[in-house]
Amino acid sequence: MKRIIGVMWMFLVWFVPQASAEGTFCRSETGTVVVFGNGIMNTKDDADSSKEVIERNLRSTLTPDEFSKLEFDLAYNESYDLMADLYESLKQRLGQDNVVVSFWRWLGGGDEVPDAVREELLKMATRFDFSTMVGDEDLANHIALYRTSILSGKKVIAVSHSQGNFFANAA
Amino acid sequence: MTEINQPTEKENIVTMKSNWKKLGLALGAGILVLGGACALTSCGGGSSSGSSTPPVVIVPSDPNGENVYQPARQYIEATYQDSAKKRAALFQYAKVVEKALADSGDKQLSIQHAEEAGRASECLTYTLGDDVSAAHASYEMKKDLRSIILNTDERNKAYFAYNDQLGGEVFKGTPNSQIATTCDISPATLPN
Repeated sequence: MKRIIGVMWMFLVWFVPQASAEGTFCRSETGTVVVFGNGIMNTKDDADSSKEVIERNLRSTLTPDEFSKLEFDLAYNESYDLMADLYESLKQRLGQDNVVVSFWRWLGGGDEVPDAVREELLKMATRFDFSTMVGDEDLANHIALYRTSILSGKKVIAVSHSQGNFFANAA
Repeated sequence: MTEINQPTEKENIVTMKSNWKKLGLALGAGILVLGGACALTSCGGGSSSGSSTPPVVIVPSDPNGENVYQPARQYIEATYQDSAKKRAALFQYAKVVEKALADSGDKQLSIQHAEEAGRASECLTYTLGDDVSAAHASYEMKKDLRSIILNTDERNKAYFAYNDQLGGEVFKGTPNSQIATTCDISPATLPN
């Protein structure tokens, strides 16, 4: 038994460092892909901005050498018409002219949000079923990104907000 | 609603004034009032009065803003009079959004425009600085401009349709070493 353990120990001592050094035992890592997955009712433009905030935050905390090894991608999750539904509901309650002009300012915090908007958002939240919001087709591209990155020797870090967590978990 | 419209009109007036100065067409106040009244009453057809005074029109001055949706161009020029770099980056973004609205029925074009929009956003943030505050400021600027660009029911619906085309898509970010290439017009070539 001692002899077997001794042989295995010799093998590990000799083989692992050799293989690691040559990148054959463990795949050599060429960098890290930080993938942001947005939450519900985020436009692509908003998701771009969130990704940029993550990027700048990491840039300020890492060394230039560490930061240079990072890539930042966006796995965009759609909102399944929820934003359009909210828009149409508000048009009925508040009138088209009001909503056309103020919709984005309400959502973006530029104008005080009327009670009607809060009420409609609450209605939507209560009837919203997150479990139905991860479509296979949507997920396929995300998985492909993760797979391609990993196969090319990169680590993948998924940073998700809200609905984005369901996609990341499903992937 | 009125809270949004009023500042925009004021900004338009500021833009008009600055352009008149640049063009050397600073007419007297009385003439301006008459010209404005004339334009409002549609009497500026030019057939009867024989006057060469043109109707009051807003003439944006930054050539980089050509082909930008007019309300967006006026807003950008009025709001960022002191920075050609910010104007150029926002013009780039506004042009992409305009294309996205026009092609919102086409998935492949929507994806292409979304990639361009991502680059425009990166350009704007790059233009604003290296730190986190630049990313926050970029977000605020895009958000404010978006409320100007999406100023009709049709444009809002097109924007929703454009975003719906993008679900499940993956968008690669520009490596930091190449971030300067995201700008159609290099900020380094602009004066301020």
